[in-house]
Amino acid sequence: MDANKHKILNDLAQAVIEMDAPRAVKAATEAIYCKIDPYEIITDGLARGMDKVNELFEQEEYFVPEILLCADTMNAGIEVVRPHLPKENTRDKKKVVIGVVKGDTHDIGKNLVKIMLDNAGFEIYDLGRNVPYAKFVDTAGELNADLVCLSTLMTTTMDGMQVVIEDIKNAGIVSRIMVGGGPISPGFAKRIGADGYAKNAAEAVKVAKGLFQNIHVPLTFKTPELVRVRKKNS
Amino acid sequence: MTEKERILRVLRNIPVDRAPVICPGGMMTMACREVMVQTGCSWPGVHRDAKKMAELSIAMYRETGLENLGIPFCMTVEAEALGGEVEDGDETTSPSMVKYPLKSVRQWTTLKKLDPHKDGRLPAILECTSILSQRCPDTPVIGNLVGPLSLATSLIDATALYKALRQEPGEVHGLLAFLTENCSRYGDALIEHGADIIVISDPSATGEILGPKLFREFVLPYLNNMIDCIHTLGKPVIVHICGNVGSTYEPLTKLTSECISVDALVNIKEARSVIPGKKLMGNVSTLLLQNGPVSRIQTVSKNLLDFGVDILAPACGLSATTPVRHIKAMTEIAKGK
Repeated sequence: MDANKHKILNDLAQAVIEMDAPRAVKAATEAIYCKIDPYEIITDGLARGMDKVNELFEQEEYFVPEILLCADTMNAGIEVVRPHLPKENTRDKKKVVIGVVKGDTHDIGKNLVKIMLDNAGFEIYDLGRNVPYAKFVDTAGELNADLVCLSTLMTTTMDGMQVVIEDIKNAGIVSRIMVGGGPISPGFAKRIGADGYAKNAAEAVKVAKGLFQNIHVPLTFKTPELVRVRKKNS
Repeated sequence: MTEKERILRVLRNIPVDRAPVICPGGMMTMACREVMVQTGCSWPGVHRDAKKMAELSIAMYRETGLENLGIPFCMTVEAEALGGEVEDGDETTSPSMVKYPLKSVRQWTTLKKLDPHKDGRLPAILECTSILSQRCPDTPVIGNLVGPLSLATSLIDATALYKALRQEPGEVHGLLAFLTENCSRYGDALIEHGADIIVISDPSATGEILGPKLFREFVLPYLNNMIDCIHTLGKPVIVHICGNVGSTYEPLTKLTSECISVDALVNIKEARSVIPGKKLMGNVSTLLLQNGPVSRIQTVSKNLLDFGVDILAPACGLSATTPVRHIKAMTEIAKGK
């Protein structure tokens, strides 16, 4: 890699880590000018910075305010690059429906997970907060969603999660389900029939990717085979 | 010794016969559907009706063995009084914010000064506090406040606020100082109407979200300011912090409240050793209280008392679907039954 390219990509990563949006925009503009491949700008520059941010989060060096600003910085950089990307093929993207279960309006955790999954290449449908149970089921069904993410910060709404999961399963929708939020434990997630549990936003990406690793049939088709795979895994 | 004397002695560090068992109300909701049905005082109707709110609170006290009266049943009263829009929820869902009055932190200067005797549901809560304190003179009536930073996340989107902590710290300090001053005045009014203890819940101010540095800058000074105001009226304060406090133990020791209440994730033995000289309240999992079994609730409650909690309490708000007999399992352990 030539020295200049190396320097620009590092600058992009560093801008994300340091929450410096103007610097990210400047570096991304320079990268485009120097004809660096747009995908490389994102993967080896901005997203590499975000990976480091995730690490810092896991090490308790960074907390929620920092993560939010790093993600904003990364997105500011991506906006510069976006017009130069080839028309995106969204067909292969996994569709994720995400929301905070009814009774709870705390959406900070959900927003973090959304940002992380978005950056990791998932296609996100955000239902917001205080979401009625049926809305999850309907949206997952309509979109043929691959993954439904349910979040809550309050113990009082944990029951609602179980209701949503049961309703999704009863409706014959084969979306996988991931849950998380302050009061949720892995044991609880398992008991209510979730496919995955993540303790924080950084882990959510790993878990979400993991959920689709061993499945070779496209998840958007409801085949009996898939239902069997799902049963075997759960 | 009355229930009121017992808990006040605990908070003043005077020896007592046994630990009290309470559920403060406010964010740490003290209400069950079962009791609502019995009394005919149900959510969402009670939230704006001082008399019914008092009925339900007293019935909860009588049926469950909890040794306090705790209102309201949500943490939206201050935010609503400051111009937020609240949806009252249904029979098992507590009121929640649906519209924030602020779009950016800078707009805090547009907030109107809080009048506890006029704004939103505050007059109803004050009236209910009076009723409770007159009808149950031997039972501690708890007045509930929301911590300034958590209240801020009910006035503006939390994401915007968390970003502003780093981007516009001066504006955030302006907002928090305003909220601290106004809510302390509401705290004063609660005490004037008969509240014996003030509990401040600060769920959005957890070290897990902010980290120790921001906690020290944006949470600690405002909480202490609020606590000091309450202390000038001679009442003790309990501060409830949500989530794991691992990285914020050190700043927590700087809180000037008599007592700290912690979430279910917190190991009481550890907390006991890291926060010496402060009373600890906690921390029976509300999920356990909801689902049981009774035997497990009994074991957990007993262990907590053995590990040295000074006040036995749920770790968070009770779910409205919690069975009364599960709460009794906890209260009876504290009472040595």
